[in-house]
Amino acid sequence: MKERSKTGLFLMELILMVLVFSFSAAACLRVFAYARKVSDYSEDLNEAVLKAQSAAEAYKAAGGDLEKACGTIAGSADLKEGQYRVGLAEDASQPGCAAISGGAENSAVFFFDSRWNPVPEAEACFTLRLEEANHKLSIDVEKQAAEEKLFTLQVKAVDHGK
Amino acid sequence: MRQNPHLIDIIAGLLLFFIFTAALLMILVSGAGAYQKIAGSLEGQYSERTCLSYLAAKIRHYDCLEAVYVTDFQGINTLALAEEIDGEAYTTLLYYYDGYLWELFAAKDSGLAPQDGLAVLAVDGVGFEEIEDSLFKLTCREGQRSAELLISVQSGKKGGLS
Repeated sequence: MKERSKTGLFLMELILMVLVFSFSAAACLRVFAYARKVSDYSEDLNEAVLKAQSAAEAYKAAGGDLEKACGTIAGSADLKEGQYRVGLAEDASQPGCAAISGGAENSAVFFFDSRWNPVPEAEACFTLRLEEANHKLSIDVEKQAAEEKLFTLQVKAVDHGK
Repeated sequence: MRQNPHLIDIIAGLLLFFIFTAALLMILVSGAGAYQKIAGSLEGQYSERTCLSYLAAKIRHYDCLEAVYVTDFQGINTLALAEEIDGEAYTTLLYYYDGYLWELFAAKDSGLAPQDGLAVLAVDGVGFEEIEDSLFKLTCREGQRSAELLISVQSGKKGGLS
């Protein structure tokens, strides 16, 4: 009788141990998942900053000419047709241009997949959006699915010669 | 007959212990995997970002007329930053050699070899390209990752950003 009660206690202890362990494991797994999410976000933010910085530098090199800057960005990344769209105020009557202008004088959108490779719009996971109004360029890098702005940068073209 | 319940208790205890050990191992492996991925990603990001930031800072530091150019240094794609000290021409060469980003500061045409420079950062590849007049494309490769940055040299041009 005494022996049976001892075994039962041991079993109870083991069950309790497994229960406590299960709670701890669940907490640990949540922390791992969160760490992975933060790491992925930091990786995306890093790329977003580089893309925005490059766009600003191309705009600077083009002397504030968005069309030329877009040509430079597209040329440097070897982009193909469909992987970016440019909408200029002068072509607003053309289909598709008004849709991406959104109130801005000129605008352009570049599309990237989850690994930041250029892709057509339908496969895009991230977008680099350039909007120019009153000689100011607003650069936004967004995550498509979450409609989350990863990084925003505003620059203004100035002419030191004037 | 009296031995049987006792045996079942022992088997149940052992089974619980094995479940506990297996779950413990699973959590450990999962944690190690998460840590390995995050550490690898952070290390890659650090090398990429540090390399590009270092090169961008160097270019901005030497932003004088015709001071920044891409050249060939003993068959290696190199970024050259020229300056004049006490009437003598000096060049800082930045290039990728033997798994590292190297920097070599020497008098122009000093005859020094790539290994005479200073290894700055361990990366898997660095590339320099002048894609337009005064617009440079810097590429840094680390493992499977590759990052690009456009840098515009402001000197000698009328335009700029504010």
